[in-house]
Amino acid sequence: MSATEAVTAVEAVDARQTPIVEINNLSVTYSREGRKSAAVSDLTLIIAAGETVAIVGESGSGKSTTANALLGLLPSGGEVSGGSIRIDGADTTRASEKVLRSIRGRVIGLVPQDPMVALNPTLRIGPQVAEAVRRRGDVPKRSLDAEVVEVLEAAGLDNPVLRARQYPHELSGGMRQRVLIAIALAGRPQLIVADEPTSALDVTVQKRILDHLQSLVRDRGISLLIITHDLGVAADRADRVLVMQGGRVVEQGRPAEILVAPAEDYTRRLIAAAPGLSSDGRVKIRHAGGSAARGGAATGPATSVADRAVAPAGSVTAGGDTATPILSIVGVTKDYRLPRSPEGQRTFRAIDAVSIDVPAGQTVGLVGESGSGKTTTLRVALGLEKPTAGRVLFEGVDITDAGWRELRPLRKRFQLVHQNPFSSLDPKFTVGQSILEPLVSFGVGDRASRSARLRELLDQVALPAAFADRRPAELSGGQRQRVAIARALALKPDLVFLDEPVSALDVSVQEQILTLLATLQDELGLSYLFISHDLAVVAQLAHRVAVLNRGVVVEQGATIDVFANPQSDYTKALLDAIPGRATAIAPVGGSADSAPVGDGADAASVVAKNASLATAPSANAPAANEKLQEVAS
Amino acid sequence: MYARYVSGRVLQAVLVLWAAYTVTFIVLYLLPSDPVQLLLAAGNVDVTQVSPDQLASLKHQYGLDQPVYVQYFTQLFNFVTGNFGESISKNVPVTQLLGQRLPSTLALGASAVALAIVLGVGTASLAVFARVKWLKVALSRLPSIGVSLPPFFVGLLLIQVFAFQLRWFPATGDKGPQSLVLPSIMMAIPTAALLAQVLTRSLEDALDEPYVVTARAKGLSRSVIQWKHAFRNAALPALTLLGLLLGATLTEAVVAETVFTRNGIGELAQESVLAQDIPVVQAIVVMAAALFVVVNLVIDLIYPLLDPRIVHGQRVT
Repeated sequence: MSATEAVTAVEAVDARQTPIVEINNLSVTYSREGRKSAAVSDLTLIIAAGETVAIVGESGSGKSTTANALLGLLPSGGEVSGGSIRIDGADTTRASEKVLRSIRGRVIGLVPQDPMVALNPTLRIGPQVAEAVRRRGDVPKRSLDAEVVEVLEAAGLDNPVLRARQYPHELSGGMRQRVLIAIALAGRPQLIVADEPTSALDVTVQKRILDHLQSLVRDRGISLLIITHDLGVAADRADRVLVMQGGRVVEQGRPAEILVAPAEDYTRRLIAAAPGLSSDGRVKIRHAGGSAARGGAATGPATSVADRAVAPAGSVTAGGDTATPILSIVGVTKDYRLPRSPEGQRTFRAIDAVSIDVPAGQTVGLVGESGSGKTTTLRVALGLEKPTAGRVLFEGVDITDAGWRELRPLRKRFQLVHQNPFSSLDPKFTVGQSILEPLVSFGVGDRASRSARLRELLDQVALPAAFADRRPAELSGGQRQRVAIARALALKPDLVFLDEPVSALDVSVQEQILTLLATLQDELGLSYLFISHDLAVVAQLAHRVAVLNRGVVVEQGATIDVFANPQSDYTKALLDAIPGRATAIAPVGGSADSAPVGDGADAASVVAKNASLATAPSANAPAANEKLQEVAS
Repeated sequence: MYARYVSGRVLQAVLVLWAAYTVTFIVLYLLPSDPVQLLLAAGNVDVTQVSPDQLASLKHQYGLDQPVYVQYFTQLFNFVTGNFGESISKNVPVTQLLGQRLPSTLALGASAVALAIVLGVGTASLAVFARVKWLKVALSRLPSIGVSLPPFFVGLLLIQVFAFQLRWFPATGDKGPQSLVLPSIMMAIPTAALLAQVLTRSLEDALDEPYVVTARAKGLSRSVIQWKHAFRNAALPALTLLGLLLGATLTEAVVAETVFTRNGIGELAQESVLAQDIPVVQAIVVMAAALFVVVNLVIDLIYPLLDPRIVHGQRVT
């Protein structure tokens, strides 16, 4: 159904029934230590029966507070200071806990944020779902188990009878998210609130689960409120999008309208930040040069990598005339011993003959889902894990068997930026102590030179010098990741390993961090090995991409080639899963020109187009808008 | 999986017990003092009056003329088969002494432990559940007072108030369940207070976990959430602490039995140490170690029932 049809359908429903949620001029304030701060101001939101609405915004924009206020689950210190909330016609603004309890689960179901921690680890899945089923009140005790299995099956879990007997830790993240969806559905609610439902999951899993949730909601006529920081996710799925900033709704409308003609600068920034939305549905590739556009120096190692991927035993110096890559992973295999199990399998092959070269001064993206072996590859490359077979070369020197003593001087030259800036900084250290710790550890410099270096590093990562005395708790996620980057740069390394450096951050902050990393690479001539589960994010930084699936490199090449002409089905699936692409393309209809890059578009034209986008990034957004408006009119 | 976990824990417990026995043996027998002289002194015999022949025959009688390792293994074998030897000062088998004293101490220990668990868990649960501000504050401050009170002082206070003034309970002796009340309270207070401190904290932490939000969003009541969801998760640290505290019950019984003049193991231990009655002391020390080991073994076996991840471990992808 087209966008207009959807809207008329919604309006028709609207006229017939009372809306399921009616929030008028809602304000929520948090008071902490006597100080009050407004989390949500003057928010008005009406959700009709069967409608899907998305609230988009960064952390701190008040989107989650809105969801919590709706469920009466504001954290302590938070209170509704103005306006009203009506749920299913009844005013619940300052309702008692008893009234709110009757709404939770029965009228509004919640799909919480992080499936890894949202289930009680000490209870089996079955009882946790049964609690929600029992809330319906009309289920006789003897058919409870059958009901539980039924909702689990409806949520798309295979083998639901077994799942009901398992504990959360025996299930993958995607499966746990399906259990949480089953719990939300179990009370047969009229509205489901999905709070960042999938941001903790792999992109392809995310797509499958959101597709499934949406079809469930559609079939049962349930309304859906999606809370997300990713405009791409919102645009793909919602009938209506609200953009929030600083507790206020700055813009709202149908996704197509907002994407085509955003009224606010903030919305435009969010569009630019969503990897799948910018450049009218094409993923923006920063280094679009590809193998052809790069000079001979880059072509050499590129071919040698390709050669070696085919024949790992081949000579390392196959490139001959070219510079040695700063890091070479050659045919690395790693087996882990499994605990004794009845199935008889004794070892688990985490990675199998993985070969990757990182040319000096370039970025190689290593993409794969959880369990694909990216982390194992990283650990082997860092010398934290000895490979079962294969070699690791740093600037041509074999470091595979190097011990701690041999590796230690080299550690100055390669550094790591961790995934989660919320846990990778010691909360008791000041920012300055954290950044200077590597210098202290290696005994580099004296007091004066260290403090000069600290100012220089803070400046490089665009943090004010005053931040040196702050502690991590006072910083935002993006600021913490800047501190972590500064710490990695303290010893002036040549190679930096980036382990999902932006996956814990909001989309708009991701963009800033990626830009910072690109700038630092240009200024300092750094090489990056960039690990991520998200192809779209990798595209924003990497010159070359290697795609890892079940421990095997299924595809490797210049970023532009991988995006324009993916060879493996797995890469195609990854490309399809990038959120926002469907919507960004939809208004243009069947135009071949705007088909997704991954679906066999003319590679040459895509290369040309992306190359031009990369050189003139500011020019692409207005151009895209023009074209969309043209088609719309 | 569970069988493997259990056998591992049991083996560990046996090893600890053996180590405890060995250390006791070394300390009591190999320290620079002559066991025979201690034996004679205990029997009020002047060592200088005893001829070398008599000394030798005494040594032979107690197996002290054997090499150390033979003594060690003979005794180890005796202990394993339940033969603890004979008391030097009282001239009766140690097993018989223990048999006389153990029931009293067991009754006291069990009632003190039960009371401590009820008080500790009750205080913590109420402190977390209460929504009236002053009650919450009062209940969460209470344990720190309990921890800082010296047990013997509490014991004397209890005797003064409940035995001498109100005459509700006897001040001394171990006749009937009534005599258990005051010493149990005295022993339970510090244990309960520590337990409440740890449990309050971990209950509060558990209630901040995301899965509690999931539970609340289902529409469950606060009491169901606290008991069914938070308590099991919060119980682990408290259970670990409880294991350590229970292991120390025997030590506390020494003080309680002294204050309330009860004829228990604690009192026997005190007498035997003063009389340097080595076989009795050794039996009591090994028994205390066994209590500690068994309590902690039981707790190790309870863990996986509370948290299944302990047996399963993390999955390899």
